[in-house]
Amino acid sequence: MPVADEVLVARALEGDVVAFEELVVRYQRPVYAVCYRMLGQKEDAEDLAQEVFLTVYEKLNYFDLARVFAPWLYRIAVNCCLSRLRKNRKVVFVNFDDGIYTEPDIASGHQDNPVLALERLEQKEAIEQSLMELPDSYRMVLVLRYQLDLTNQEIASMLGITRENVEVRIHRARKALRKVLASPTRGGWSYELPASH
Amino acid sequence: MNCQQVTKLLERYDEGELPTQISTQVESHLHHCAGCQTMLRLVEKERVSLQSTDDIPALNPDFAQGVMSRISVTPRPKLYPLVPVWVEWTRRYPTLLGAAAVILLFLFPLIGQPTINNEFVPPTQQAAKKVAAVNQMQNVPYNATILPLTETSDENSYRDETLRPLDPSRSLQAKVITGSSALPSSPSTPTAALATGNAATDQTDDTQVIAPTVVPSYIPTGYTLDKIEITSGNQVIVSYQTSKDQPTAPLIINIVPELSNKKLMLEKDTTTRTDQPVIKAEDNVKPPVLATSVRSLTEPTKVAPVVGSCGGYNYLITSNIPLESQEMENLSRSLELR
Repeated sequence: MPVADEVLVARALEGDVVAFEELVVRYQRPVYAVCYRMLGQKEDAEDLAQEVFLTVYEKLNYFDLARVFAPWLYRIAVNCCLSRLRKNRKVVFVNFDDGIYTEPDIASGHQDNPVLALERLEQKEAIEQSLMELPDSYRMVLVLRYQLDLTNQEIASMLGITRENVEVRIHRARKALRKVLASPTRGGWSYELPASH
Repeated sequence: MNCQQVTKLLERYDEGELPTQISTQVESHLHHCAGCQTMLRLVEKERVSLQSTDDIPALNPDFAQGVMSRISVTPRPKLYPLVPVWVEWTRRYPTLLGAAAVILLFLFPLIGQPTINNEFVPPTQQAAKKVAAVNQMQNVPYNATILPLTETSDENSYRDETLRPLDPSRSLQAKVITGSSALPSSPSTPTAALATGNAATDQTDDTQVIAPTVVPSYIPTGYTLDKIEITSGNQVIVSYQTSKDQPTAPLIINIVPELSNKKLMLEKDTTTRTDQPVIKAEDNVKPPVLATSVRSLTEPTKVAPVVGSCGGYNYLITSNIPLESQEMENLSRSLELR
């Protein structure tokens, strides 16, 4: 059985850097996934994920060892994401990599049926794009629910909102996404969402 | 159910979150409604897409190394928050400090010389200090005797203590017997009558049983109670498993004077709205959750627990009596509930 996260935190607090590295390895993917889903760019997401782990390290002594580590880590990740998004809105970035477009490997996943593969790829792109068009608070709820597999209750306590509020946000966000999936023409669906708060 | 009602429930139906009765109603509607079936397929497709991570570009393989190299130039976190909360506040709001100083200046003649203790004391040390203070205050010589943990509530059962597995329906008891002031004084080296109770049997008149009991009254959804242990390090450890098959943080409690004769109850944490259980003691006594003792899970300390009582006070006496493995087994019983 692997060593519990909280034991690793206790070791890290005693100066065991390897223990902290183990925590980074354990959680790098989910944290990066959240960052990517929120920011939509690989470089930004990696940079932010690093910032999350640095913040975690700096604030490790505030972690209550009697509690579970993962929700605490995700809460920091959520805060870092929201803070970065607020900052990004004030600055306009020019992405120099935009011109370098690599053709997605459609055939690799579905060698037998390239039409299906193309359809799926288009669908994923549509989902990804639609997610990015959602208000931050709605997108965050969806990411926590489906990428991190957290319960509505866990999300509620993480974001400091009620569980009912989480349910409403998920329902509205999914309703909006469904319209995109149902009609590839994408007709003004983002206007049907209430304003983010 | 009509289509409109069913459509509203499809997400929860797809994720298996509906109560059985409603789920059956939805199912029966789906059997004869092609439109809702199409909608369900769409909902499923959408969920799968949301859960998918295929479109996320691969993480740089050197990511962890990158983090660690940045951490190498970051100051190491301290074991406890170095700066007490009030110091942080005064740093953040210096005017607050000024205002407080002015108020204190005016109140000074009224309240006398204030004593401000700047030193941050970890909880374990606080408990130890308290014990020492009570000890000194009472100034009563004592002789503490430990008996093995036992499943019975019979106060005299220590005489025929045997190594029987504990009955899950009964609560664990740490039985401790203290001597009276008539006994020889030995505050620095409490005597331990391990497994036999020989020293205590003659002193039954002054017997006081301190029984921190653990009652699993609440098991959160998705959690399975793994085991409850009372370790030789004066701790109660409650371990859980979750349905997600992830390791969970065990609840660790230090047996301190305030907990003597109190029932410990596992309850749902109503403050954070999570399913994580918390431990509460009866009469609203807050059990000190020990933060630094996680390591003791893997490396149990071979030190006898001594909970003492004298002059109406129950308190903890730390002792350095090393124990043999058999004695450890006597003292640290596991309650397997699986």
